[in-house]
Amino acid sequence: MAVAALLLGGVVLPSAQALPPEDTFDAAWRIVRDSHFDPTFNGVDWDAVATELRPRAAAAGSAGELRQVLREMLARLGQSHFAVIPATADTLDGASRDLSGTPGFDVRLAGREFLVSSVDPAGGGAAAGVRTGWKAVILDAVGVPALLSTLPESLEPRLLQVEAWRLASTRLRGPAGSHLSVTFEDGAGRPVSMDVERRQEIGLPVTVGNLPTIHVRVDAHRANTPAGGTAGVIRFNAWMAAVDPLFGQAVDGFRRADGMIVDLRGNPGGLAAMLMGISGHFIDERKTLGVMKTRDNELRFVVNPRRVNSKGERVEPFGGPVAILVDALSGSASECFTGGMQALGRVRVFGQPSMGQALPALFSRLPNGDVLIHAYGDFVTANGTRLEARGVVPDEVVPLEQSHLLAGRDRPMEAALAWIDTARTLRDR
Amino acid sequence: MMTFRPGPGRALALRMPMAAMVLVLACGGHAHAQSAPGAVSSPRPAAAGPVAERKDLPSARSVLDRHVEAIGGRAAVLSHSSTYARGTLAMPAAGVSGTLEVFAAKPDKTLLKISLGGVGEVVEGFNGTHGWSVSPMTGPMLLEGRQLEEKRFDAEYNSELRDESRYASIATVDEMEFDGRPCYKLRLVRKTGGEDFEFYDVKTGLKAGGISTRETAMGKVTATAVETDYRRFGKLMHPTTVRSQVGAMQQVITITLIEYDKVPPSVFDMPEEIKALLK
Repeated sequence: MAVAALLLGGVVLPSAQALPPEDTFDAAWRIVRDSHFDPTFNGVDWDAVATELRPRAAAAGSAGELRQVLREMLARLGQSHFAVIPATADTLDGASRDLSGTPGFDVRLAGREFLVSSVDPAGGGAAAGVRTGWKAVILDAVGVPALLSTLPESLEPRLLQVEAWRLASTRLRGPAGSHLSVTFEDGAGRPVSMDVERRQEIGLPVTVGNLPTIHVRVDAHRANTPAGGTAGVIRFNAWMAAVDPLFGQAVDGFRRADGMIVDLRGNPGGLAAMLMGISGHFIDERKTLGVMKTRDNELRFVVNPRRVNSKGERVEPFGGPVAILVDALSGSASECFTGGMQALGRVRVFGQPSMGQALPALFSRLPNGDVLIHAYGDFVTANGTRLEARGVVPDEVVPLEQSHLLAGRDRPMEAALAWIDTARTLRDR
Repeated sequence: MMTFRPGPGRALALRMPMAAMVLVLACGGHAHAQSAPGAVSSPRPAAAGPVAERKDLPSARSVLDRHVEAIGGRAAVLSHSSTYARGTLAMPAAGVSGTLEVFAAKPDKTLLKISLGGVGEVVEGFNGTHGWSVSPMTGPMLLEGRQLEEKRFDAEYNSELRDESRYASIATVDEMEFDGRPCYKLRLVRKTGGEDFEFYDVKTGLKAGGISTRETAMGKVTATAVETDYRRFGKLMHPTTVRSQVGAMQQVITITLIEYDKVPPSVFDMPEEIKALLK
């Protein structure tokens, strides 16, 4: 699923079998042939793709070579949510790659540079003194220009953000307890080199089927608006079922707030059925957020109004202003939710345009043990907006700027808090 | 006149679409099925219209009666007032699996519990009046409108007898391959609206599966279910494997235990969060 594709690009799954590589190729090709939502395959001659690439798959001398062919096949579709999660490392030196540890800071691409976009107060980065707004210059002994040079020049900005982050992530992460050697450039342009401890990722470990384990986290806190109001801020990192009760408890804590902010920055998606439940905390009617169109069917994501709180008591969904924060790493279910709520006019969206990878997908185990992620539906919001390759465009675009990060400011959050004041004033009139 | 007991096979087959939706219809991924070994063949439902029974084929009534005899007979079917079934549910291609329990009681009470790794417990029920579901992904929900009507229809404990009072028409419309077996295809038009197609093995008389369309929280969903591996539990035979397919998604239910007349009425009590929704 989207979560796995984006978050865990370097993760390997357990076990694989030694089988003729063409068996795996054929299986992957057939799965796409049989389940792709578009019988024209986005205008690609799918039979011709098999004719061209199957001999190369049959000649693949390693798991990595086969995956290259599979990825090339999937890339021909030019769509998101077609990917392979390896069951073994691509190369021998990657055989022991363990990405269980995180340095406790994240980065985003700004131009051709990585900026530290967030620092987890409990992580190794904070302990080492990493600050938001610093530029990452060398990651794990590889210079950022060299790292980015592996990406095609032709990538459009939206995809460049995603692919660059994925590259950086494979460098940032490593075995828990290991150290990341990193060189930054601070706000004054001075180099700062340090070793940052990678700590075990925190959160509730959740494993769904063949997918790698995801550590689910829900954070909630109360924030003040500029005019002295209060807003409940809820952030979660993946759309997994374990989120729902925690989200509900958080909403319960903020029912009397002047507004709420759902922070989906960096949230790459998950189980989209959850859209129906989470949206119901803010909408009191069974409205349609969007429609998933498969080859055989159209299925609606309909709001389930949440009229019972976490204690089992009757309540009404929150009726005050709701803002959603997104960025270039908000994908899939996060986009379906945000785009759907935006189309209904229920929320105001702040931040940067989202990933534009909003195709509902399935995952299937291939004969060699790898997992194939493959889109089987298209998602269109209630007002007819197709999010794939477009993403959610915020109502208020707030670019990521180094000066704000260096100053410790969270501009999208500030903009959302200010809007809650405005919305509250309008409502009170 | 017919009466039947609602074999869990019937109950499970009808609930498969919802179970599939709960897990799969998410932006995240799940099982692929169509190229998987043993995938269900899915003859398309015919367009709705007047039922025309083919005169060269056995009557629908005789096909249904033969099935009842094959599973143990009408008297055995009518001898029970409640059923409990336990088993597993899997989406093999995705590696998703879990446990499943089905409770059913006269006249029309049902409860389905599915517990899936990484997702949690999904519960669906009908207590004779209210239909509801509680899912860790969507929260508690009361069924309304068409969804509730269909739930009521499917909850009928003796529904598998295909009492003619419940149908506008029942007809044998074809003899065809279904799941690789020659089968009689029956078309059952419900008085409450909608139609189901069922397939009965020409050789054994046993029901081989069906195609059902049901209203769900996400709209209409058509599922094809294949019922195999009949085993005897007490006086009755039941299918212990139900492979169901909704579009590109496949699920497999395996029944390991069926007991009769042990289900306490309290099983069908609505959970507190559902009661709160009714206030």
